[in-house]
Amino acid sequence: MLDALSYPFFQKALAAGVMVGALCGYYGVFVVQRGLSFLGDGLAHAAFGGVALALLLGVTPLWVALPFAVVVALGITYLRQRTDLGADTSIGIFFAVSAALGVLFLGLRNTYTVDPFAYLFGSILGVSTADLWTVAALVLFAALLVPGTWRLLAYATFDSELARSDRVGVRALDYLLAVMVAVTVVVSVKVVGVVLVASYLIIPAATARLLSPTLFRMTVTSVVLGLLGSVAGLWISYAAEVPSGATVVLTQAAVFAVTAVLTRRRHGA
Amino acid sequence: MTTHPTTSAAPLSVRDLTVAYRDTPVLRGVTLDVPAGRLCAIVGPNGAGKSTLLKAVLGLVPRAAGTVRFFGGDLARARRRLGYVPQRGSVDWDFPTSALDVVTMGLYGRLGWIRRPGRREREDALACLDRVGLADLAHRQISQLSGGQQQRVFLARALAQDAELYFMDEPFAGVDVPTERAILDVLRDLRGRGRTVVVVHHDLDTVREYFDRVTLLNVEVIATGDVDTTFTPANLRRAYGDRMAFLDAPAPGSALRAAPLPGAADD
Repeated sequence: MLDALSYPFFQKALAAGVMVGALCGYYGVFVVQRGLSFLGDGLAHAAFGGVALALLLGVTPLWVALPFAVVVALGITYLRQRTDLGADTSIGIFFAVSAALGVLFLGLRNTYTVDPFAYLFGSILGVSTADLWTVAALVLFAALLVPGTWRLLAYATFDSELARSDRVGVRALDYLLAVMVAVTVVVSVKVVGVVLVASYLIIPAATARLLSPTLFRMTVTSVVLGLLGSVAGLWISYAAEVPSGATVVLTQAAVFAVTAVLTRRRHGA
Repeated sequence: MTTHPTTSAAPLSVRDLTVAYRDTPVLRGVTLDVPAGRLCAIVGPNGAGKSTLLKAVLGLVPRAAGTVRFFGGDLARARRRLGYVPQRGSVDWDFPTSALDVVTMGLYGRLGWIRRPGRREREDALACLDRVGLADLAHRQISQLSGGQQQRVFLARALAQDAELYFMDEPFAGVDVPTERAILDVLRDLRGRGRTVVVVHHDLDTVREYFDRVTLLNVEVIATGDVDTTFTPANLRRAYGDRMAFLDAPAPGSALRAAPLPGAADD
């Protein structure tokens, strides 16, 4: 089975899986603790809209999907902060608009190819060297943000009003988190696809939540689970010759299910 | 713990503060002065705007009109000298965090984006937990603490912030007797060190015993001043309206209690 490592496409897929898995594990923690799981879905559809636009224009999908999803993330956050609408409503509006634009762009393109399908369900064959460098740069940027922002994000997630009373820039952090989740979702779409990326974002964090008494432990656990789940899933998908995105998500879901069963008594259910 | 130099300006001076949700005023023309080194209660019926007053003063809800001065300056300059203890029920106690973390988080605003809490901050936080009798529970997840213990975690947090002017929202609500004593000890200790504490309070029975000053609030300020001269049956009747009707002729110094007991969360 180790012969898989000799294939450049698998090396690239694995490298992407490790980086993207860790990134999802990290931001998934804040998404889960803030009750924003739907945000992953909304931004995935924004990514879909962006990819469709890129295919229409004939340019590299990542370079359109990234700004597209970031703009949507900023729009969702703006609506949440400036109106009385709930997060689910704000996300739901952008969700539908992005998906509609995606379908429209694909329709205008007139020639259906396999490309959109690869983005809907992910494709390990589709990770190019250029993609890998882009993902590496974004993960490095995210990693550099961690020391300065983790504590403050944690505080604002625990109680935003309390954090504001202590002069924590809660609004700026909300925008930062939304933008970074958008970036995370877009780069993850390569590996697991638009349809599955929301689960990919939240399952490691949800599993970590069951195992962790503090947010710090939850974060470390979630990053490790996101990373390992991606590696294990990719390997299984290679060995069993089944689609990679689905296998990764199902592998993580299996770990979650086992954890949920094993920890159920501790929480007095 | 460092001591701050006291300035001559009043710790808190509120002028004509009005807060509205949509078009309905929640607070109207509130004018209030809080002198240094006093324990000040804010009492009033449910929906009187007591919690909103604290939040508006601290800039947590928008003000429609009015000015708020701290130590003669504005909020931005005074923030470091202020401490806030929210209602216990406003926080998600199932959040995965320890008692020590909650206390340490109170220091994040001071540390900013770059500095991280080090050994000194942790030792300070532990000492403050010790002062409220929770040293043994420092690493316990907050969901596993009793209501009284949770309130004392908040108190330790406030102590760690080492502020000059504290705002506490219903710290005595729903706590056990040891916690009530612990809170009172801390309040008196703070006063002894020249600190000022503004407390939203619901138990009219204990106002005279616990506080030096009182503000009776019901959307507007009904009366404000020293407890002896302000906490009178006539003022209480004006603040609580019909709910105080049965108190028409209380004997001086007798227990005053509003019915129904306004112990539930404000606003």
